[in-house]
Amino acid sequence: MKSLVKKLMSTMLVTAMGVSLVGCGSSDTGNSTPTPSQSADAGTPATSSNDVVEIEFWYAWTDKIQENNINLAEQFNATVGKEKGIKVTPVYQGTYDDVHQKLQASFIAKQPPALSIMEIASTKLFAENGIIQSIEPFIERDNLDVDDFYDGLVENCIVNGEYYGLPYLRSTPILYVNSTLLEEAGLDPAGPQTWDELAEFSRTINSELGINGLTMYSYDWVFESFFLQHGTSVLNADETATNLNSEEGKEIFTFFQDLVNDGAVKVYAGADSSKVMPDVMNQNTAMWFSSTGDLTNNLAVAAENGFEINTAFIPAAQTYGVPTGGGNIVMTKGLSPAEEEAAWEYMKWLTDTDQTVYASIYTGYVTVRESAIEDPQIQALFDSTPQAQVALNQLEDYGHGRPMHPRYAEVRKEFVNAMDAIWVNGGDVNTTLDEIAAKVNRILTE
Amino acid sequence: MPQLDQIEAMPEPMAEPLNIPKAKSKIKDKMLPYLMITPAMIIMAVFVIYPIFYMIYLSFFDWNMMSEMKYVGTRNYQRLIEDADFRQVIGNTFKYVGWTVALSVFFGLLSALYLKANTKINTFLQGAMFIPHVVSLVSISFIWMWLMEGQYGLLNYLLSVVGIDPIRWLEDPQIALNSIIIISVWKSIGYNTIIIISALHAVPEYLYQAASLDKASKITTFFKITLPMISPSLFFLVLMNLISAFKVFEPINIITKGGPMNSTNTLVHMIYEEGFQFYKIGYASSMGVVLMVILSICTLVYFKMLSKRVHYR
Amino acid sequence: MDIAKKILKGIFNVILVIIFTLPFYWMFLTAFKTLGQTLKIPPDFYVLDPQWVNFKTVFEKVDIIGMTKNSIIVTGGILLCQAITVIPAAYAFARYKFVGSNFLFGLTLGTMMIPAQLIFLPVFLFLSEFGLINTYASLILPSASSAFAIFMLRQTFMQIPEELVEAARLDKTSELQIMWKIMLPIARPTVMTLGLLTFISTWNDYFWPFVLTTNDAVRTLPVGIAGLKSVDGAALPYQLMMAGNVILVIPVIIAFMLAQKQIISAFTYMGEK
Repeated sequence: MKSLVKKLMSTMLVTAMGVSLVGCGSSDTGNSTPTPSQSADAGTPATSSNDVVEIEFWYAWTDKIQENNINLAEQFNATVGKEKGIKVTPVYQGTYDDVHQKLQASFIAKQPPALSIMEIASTKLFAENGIIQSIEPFIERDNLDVDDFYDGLVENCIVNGEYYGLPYLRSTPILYVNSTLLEEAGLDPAGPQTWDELAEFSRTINSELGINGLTMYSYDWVFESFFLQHGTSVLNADETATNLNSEEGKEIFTFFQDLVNDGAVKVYAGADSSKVMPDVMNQNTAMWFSSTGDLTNNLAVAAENGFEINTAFIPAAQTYGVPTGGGNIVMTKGLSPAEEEAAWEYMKWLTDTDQTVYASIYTGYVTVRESAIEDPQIQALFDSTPQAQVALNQLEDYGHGRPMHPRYAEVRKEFVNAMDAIWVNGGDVNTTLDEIAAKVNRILTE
Repeated sequence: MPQLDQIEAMPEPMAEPLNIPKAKSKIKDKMLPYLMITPAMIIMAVFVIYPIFYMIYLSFFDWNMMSEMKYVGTRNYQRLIEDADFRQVIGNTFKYVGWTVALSVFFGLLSALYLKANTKINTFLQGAMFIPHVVSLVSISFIWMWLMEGQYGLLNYLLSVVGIDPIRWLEDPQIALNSIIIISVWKSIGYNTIIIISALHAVPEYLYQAASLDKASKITTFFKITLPMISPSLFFLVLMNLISAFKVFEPINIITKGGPMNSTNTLVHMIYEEGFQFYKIGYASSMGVVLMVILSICTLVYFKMLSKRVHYR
Repeated sequence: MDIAKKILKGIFNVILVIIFTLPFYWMFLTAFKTLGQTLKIPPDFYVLDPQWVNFKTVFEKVDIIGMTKNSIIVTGGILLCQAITVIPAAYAFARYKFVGSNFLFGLTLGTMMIPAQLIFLPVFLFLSEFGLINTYASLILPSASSAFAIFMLRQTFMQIPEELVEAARLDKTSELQIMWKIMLPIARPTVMTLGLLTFISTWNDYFWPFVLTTNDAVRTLPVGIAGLKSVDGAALPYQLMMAGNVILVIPVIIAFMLAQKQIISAFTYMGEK
C-alpha cells in the first residue's frame, strides 16, 4: 500500500518538475498561426480539373434554411458557376456557435473553407484575429452597390472602416400579439405602439382575462432594443463601457419589474426562447417578442390553436429602435487568388436582389437589399401576409447594428444574469445593475 | 467483500512479479515487456500525460485559439483569485460534490441494509434502482428537466395534488443546484447500494454470532461490527463518487447551462464555457490546473487514510 | 405486529419502485403524446391515441441510423484498441520485472484519477492541429487504452499460478503463446467484464463526442438525441425529446433485463478493485 502512495507521489513530482521545465522554455513555441501561403496550400481543395475552382460554403441551421442554402448553391453552380468555372459546395455545421467553433478548429487544422456564414456580432472577433478577410478591394474593383443594403444591416459588416462580410440571412425582433385575445379584452388588435401602451395593455389583459399580458424570457437581443428605444445603447459608442446602470437602464429595469410584480408580465429565466411558446400555445399570454424569422412558425401555431396574430414594431419609449441579427457571409483569409475570386463571385451573387428575394420568401428572413421591395414576388407576399411587411418597415427606419466587442458573448451572459436577477428573482435594481455593470466594464476593458 | 482487502492483501505492486528464467537472456527477451507495454504507454503519453503538460503550459498564456499566444506569466492565476464568478463556481462545485457524495453514500447504505437479504423481491428492487446507473446521462437529464419543468412538469403537478405550492426547481437560483444534486443522487444510489450489499455479505457470519451471544443491540452491532467491517468499501465508494461528482458536466450542460445567475455552474462546465464559448484558452487552462490539484489532493488524502487503516489493523 | 411490519415493508417497497421507475414511465408516456398533450394541466397518465409519428419525426430530425452506425463504430473501435493495448500491457506488468516497470505502472495508476473532463481542452486543441476533429480517430484514440483495465487485468494475471506457466515453458511455448493460449482463457471472465463496462460507458458517453465533434457526420447517438433540444423560437418538443430518449434507452434497458445479473456483477467487480 505504502508504495502505491509513493508511486502517486512520484507521479506528482514528475508532473511538478515538468511544470518548471515547461515554464522556463515557454516563450519559444506556441505560435500556431499559419502564414497565408501555408494555409493556401492546405486550404480548400481547389482547381480539380478543367480549371473548375471548387470552394466550400459553411452554413448554420436546418430545415428551411438548410434547403435554401442548398438550392441557391445549386442554382449558382448551374448558371454563373458553370460559366465562370466555379463549384460551390454548401456544408452544414449546426448552430452559429458550432460554425464559429468549427471555423476556429479548421483554422488551427489549416483546412478552412473559403466561405462561411457568421453570426453578425462575431464579425469583429474573427476579423481582428485574421480568420476572415477584408473584401473592400473587391467591392471597389467591381463597384458593388453596397448602398442598396439597409443601413441597419451593414453596420455589423464593417470592422475598422472596411467591409468584412455582406448581409445574407438577417432578421430583427418584432412584437407578436394574439389579436383575438386583445379584442376580447377590449383593446386595439393592432397592438401597443408605445411603452405606456405596452404597460396599459399588459395590465388590462391581466385584469380582464387573468393571463399574462406579455411573456418574455431573459432575451439579450430584445434587451438591446429596449436601450435603442431610449436613444441609447447597451454599450457606449466605442464599446469601452456599458450603459446598463445608466438612468435609462434603471428605467428599463424598473418598468418591467413593476409589471412583473403586478403579474401583468411574466419573465422566464435564462436565454431560452423555448419557454415562451407554451404560454403562446395555451393562450396564456397575449403578447410576446420574437424574431421575424419565426413568423411562419407563429402563424402555424395560431392556426392550430384557433387564434389570430398580428405583428407590430417593438413599442417605442422615446423612439422606435431594434437591433438586427442573423448571419453575414464572410470570406476566410489565406486563399489562393483563384479561390478568392471564386468566393467573391458567390458572395456577390448570393446577396444580390434576386437571391435575397428567394431566400426571404423561402425562410422568412428579411430581404437585405432595398431594391428587393419592388420585386413582384415580395409585393405579392406583402399582400397575402401583411404581417411580413412590418419587419421590413421597422428595419428600414429603425434598424441598428449589434455591439461587436470581441468579448460580447461574455457580456451578453451578464445581461442575462441581470434580467434573471431583477425580473425573475426580484433583485434590487440599483445594486444589481451597479454590480453587473462593473463586471461588464471589466470584461470590456481587460 | 474482497475489494479493498484485495488491494491491501495484494503484493506491493511489482515487488514480486515472477520473472522469466534467465537461461537464454537475449536482448530480444529483455525487449519483450517493453514492446508489450508500448501501445498502452503511447496512448497514455499522448492523451493523458502530454495534455496535462500542455494544459499547464497554456495556463501561462493569453490565447483565444486564433490570436498569437501571449505569455502572461501567472496573470491567469491572479485573475482566478479576483474572479467572483470563479469563487462562486468553486463554492457551487464543493456544495454539489459534498451533498451528492454524502447523500448518495448515505442513502446507498440505508437501502443496502434494507435490501441485503437475498430474496426475489430484493433482487428486483436492486435492479430497478440500478437502471439509472446504466442509462446515458443525456436521457437522465432530459427526463428530469421534463419532470422538473416549472409549469407543466410532473413533480409540480404531484405537489399540487397534495396541496404544496409549485417549486421553481430549475429557475430559482436558491434551488436549482439542489435540483441537480437530487438528479445525481437518484442516479448513483443504485450503484452504491449494490457495492455496499456485497460488502455486507462479506462480513463473516461468526462476528454477528459472537455479537448476539454478547446480547449486543442491533445498533451496537451495526456500529461495532458492520460499519468497521465495511468501511474500506465505504472509503472506496466515497472516492469513486468524489471523482465522478467533480467531473459533473452533462446535467448542467443539458438542463441549466450553469444558470440561473451562475448558480449551477460548476468547475468542468465553467472550463468548457470559458474555453469553447468565450475562447479564453489560457484562462480555462488555469482552471483546469486548479481542478487537477483538487483531484490530486482528494486522491492523496484517500490513500493516506487507507494506509493508516492498514497500520491500525 | 408481524403483519403490520409486512405491510409497512410493502408500502416502502412500492415507494422505492415508484421513485426509480416513474421517471421512465413518464418518459415512455410523453413519447406518445402530442405537443398539446404535454402542455396540459392536469397531465394525462395514460394515452389512448399513441403518437407513433413522434418517432418518425425524430428519425427525420436526427440521423438515427447514421449516428447509431457511428456509435457502433466508435464503441467497436475502442473495444478493439483497448484489447490491443490493455492485454499485453497488463500481462507485462504482471509477469515481468524490468527497468522502469515500477515507475511506469505507478504512472498508469496515476492517470486513472485524471478524468476526460479535465484534459479535453488540450486534447481538442492538438487533435485540431492534426486535422483530426470530426474523424472517428478523434473519438476512438483518446480512449484507446484504459489504466483501469490494465490494473484490473494485471491483478487477474498475477493470481494465475506460476506452475501453469512453467509447464508451458518446458514445452518451449513462446511467451506470446503463453499469454494468448494459457493466460487469456483463464482471465476470460475479467476480460468480458471489462469489455462490458467499456461498452456501456462508451455507448452512453456524451462528453467526448460532444466536445470533439462539430458536425453530424461522426456524431454518436447521445449527442444526436441531445440535439433535439436545440430549437429556436419554438416550445421545447418534450414529446420528441422523450421519443428520442426512448430510442436511446430501450436497447440499454432490454440488455439490462436480459443480463441484469452479469451487468450488476460487472459493476460490482469494478467496485472490487
